[in-house]
Amino acid sequence: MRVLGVSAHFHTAAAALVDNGTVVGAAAEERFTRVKHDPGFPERSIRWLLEERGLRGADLDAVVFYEQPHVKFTRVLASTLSTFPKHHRSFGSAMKRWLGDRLWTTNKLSRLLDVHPDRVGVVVHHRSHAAQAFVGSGFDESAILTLDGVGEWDTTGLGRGRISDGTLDLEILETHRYPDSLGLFYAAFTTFLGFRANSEECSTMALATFGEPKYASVVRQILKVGTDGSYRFDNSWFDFVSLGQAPFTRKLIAALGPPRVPGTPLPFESFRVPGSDTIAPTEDHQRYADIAASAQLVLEEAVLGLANRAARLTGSKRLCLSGGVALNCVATARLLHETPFEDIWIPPDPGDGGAALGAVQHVLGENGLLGPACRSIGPYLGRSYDPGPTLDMLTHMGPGSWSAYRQPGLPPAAPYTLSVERLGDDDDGLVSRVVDDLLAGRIVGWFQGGFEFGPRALGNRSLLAHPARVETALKLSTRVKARAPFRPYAFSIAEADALRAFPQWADGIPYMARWMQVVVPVSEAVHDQVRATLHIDGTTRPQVVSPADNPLYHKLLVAFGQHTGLAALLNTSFNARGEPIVSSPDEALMVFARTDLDTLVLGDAVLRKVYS
Amino acid sequence: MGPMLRRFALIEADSSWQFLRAAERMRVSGSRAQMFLHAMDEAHQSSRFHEVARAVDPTSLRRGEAKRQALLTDPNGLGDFLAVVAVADAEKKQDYGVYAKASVDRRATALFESLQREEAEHAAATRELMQSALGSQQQVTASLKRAWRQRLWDGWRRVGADTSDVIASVLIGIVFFLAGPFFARKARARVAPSPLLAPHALPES
Repeated sequence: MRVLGVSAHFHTAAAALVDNGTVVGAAAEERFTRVKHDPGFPERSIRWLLEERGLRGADLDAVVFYEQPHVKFTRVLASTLSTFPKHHRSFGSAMKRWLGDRLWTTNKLSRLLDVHPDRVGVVVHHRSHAAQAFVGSGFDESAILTLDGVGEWDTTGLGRGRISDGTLDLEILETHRYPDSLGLFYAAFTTFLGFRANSEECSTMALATFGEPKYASVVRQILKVGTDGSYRFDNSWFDFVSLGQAPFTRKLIAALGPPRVPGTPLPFESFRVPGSDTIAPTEDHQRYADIAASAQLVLEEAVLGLANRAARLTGSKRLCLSGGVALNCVATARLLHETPFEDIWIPPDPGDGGAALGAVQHVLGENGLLGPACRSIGPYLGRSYDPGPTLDMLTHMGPGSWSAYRQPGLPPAAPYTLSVERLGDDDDGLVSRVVDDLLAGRIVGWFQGGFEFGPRALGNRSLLAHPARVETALKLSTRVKARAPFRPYAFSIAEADALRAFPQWADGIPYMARWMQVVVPVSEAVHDQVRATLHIDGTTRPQVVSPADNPLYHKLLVAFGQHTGLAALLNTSFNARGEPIVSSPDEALMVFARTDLDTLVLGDAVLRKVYS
Repeated sequence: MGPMLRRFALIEADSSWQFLRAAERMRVSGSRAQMFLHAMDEAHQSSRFHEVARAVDPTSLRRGEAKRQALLTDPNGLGDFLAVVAVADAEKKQDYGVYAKASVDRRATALFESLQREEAEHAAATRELMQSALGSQQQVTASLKRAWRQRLWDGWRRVGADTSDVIASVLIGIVFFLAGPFFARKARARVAPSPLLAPHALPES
């Protein structure tokens, strides 16, 4: 059976294709359109999935959309009408969007793919998330938590999954409905703190580390967590219909003070260079950090309450988690120690993009077609490219002209020439050259194979650097990524060395550590070796890499460790400011040309800036 | 000023994306290099707009929405693609000239003036590329005429779409204010949160 899954119209549209029980590909639309978190219809992702395999719509047995548009429409209607006449503008723009396009998504899919409408189906949003959370885990039975912004009406789902003989038995035991939403709660605080909702929640999480939860009592009035693990949201403090603009009410401002003006500096740094000048945070800056810490704490309390409730209701020792809130890796870290669960699994893309795959898994599970290949899912499901044409192009284009296109705001680059070396099948040679560069303090763009499905760069589209060198990390922040200094980096570490950095995992490395889904303290014994990747509280969000996960990347880590004593590398996503992670070699080359990235590895080719 | 600069940044980013996609379609690496450099140039212009937008209006979070529609899908259509680019460059040059005069912020004025000069250079370079892609001046002229006609047709369609958007807004507004009061109470009931079942866990506030 060949099934295409599609998610669109809220946050990070995506498509996924499963053929005879194997996930043959999945990609977020942003990787093709270069529009960050592109929520539009994933036409290009669908085209790639089909064209690369020589398929047409007629070759598909089913197409499935990840939610029910007509049910979601009733929620949009109700939420805009409930405050009549306040939201007449939101009502107008929502109606135009829905009546003109979104309500007819299944018809659009049928028309675009030339598939009979009978073969286009929908899955309830939180069932897509639940299938996405559970199926790929490989567990036969598990508790399931879906923690989202909002689907049709549901915002949180608590259930249990079982699989036997390829058939999925998904039981949703409880749900929370709009506006009781953890995702929208955190997004609203993200806007209050001057960041973009549904995009920069990681900034709120990073800022929280610099604060104390002094406002927790106020935030607990907004999000009330009960002893039974349920929660309720008091919507007199926020106005979710205006999310993305100013979703807070006067009541909130009276309690917490004025919101932060976006774009104003936040003088917090995750690492400091000795002797460097730093601006002391003002009272207001500290207030923002304290508010972030309070929102983070209360979110963690709610997530913990739900997880413990799920444990009580299901009696399971395993938990599968999905939805955008599952990306809050400080909250998920607490699940490891403060719940009875022994195994916790989060898919590589727990958000709405991943729900495209979840919808397919749900359909296959209903039909008893979940084979072993569909039950073990990694992140490297995106498109791969031949770097050959990009390298050929370089013979017609010297780097001399590149300085004219440098990112504005960067100081002039030192003059350089370009060296290009192709290593063919010599992986050892490739690794050895990259290790030399990393040891010399160079920043390396590492581009291999298919791009990752999900928000993390996990060794196929990564920027790499020496994890001990703070000055290299600062260069990366200021001269490549233009990243806020309060946001920390993370590191990848080879499995064999993981226990040295994380001795608390002597009983077993959690699944969440495979794909950078958990924030944990790092052993002080190795702090000096990974100084540039630590947050101010000595934590990081590690990726523990095994040879089976990503053989070449693992080899690189091990080779680096032979020189430094720890097989770890600073790993961050390969993108420039405000852009999605690069997908093609040309896009990688553009970042290389326009920033102070020193080395670019495109498959077997090593491109180096040789400074004079 | 900020939103307008961000809108221009989006237009330039879209141009860069168009050239990157066009570069991928090129079979000859020399042509690919030309397209790639053009893409970098457009990306650079987009970054400059963003930079000035951040300086002029640092408080705006709006990124704006961009919808992509690749103009070059068939490498044989390179001439027509370049004609569309040439026409767009000419229009941008004119627009930037107008904005340079109208702008009250000196940073924005300087940017518009600089980009106006660059667009003139782009237009000349694009015509050269067209000449080598299409072969004869006659074909270049014909291609440019087609591109201008398409531009006018697109403009007309945009006017139509904008007009229908206004009409739709008015009609929806009428429906909202006439029918809204009858449904508001029911809607409020549907979105009202239910009480917490076990509230005694709440800490003292």
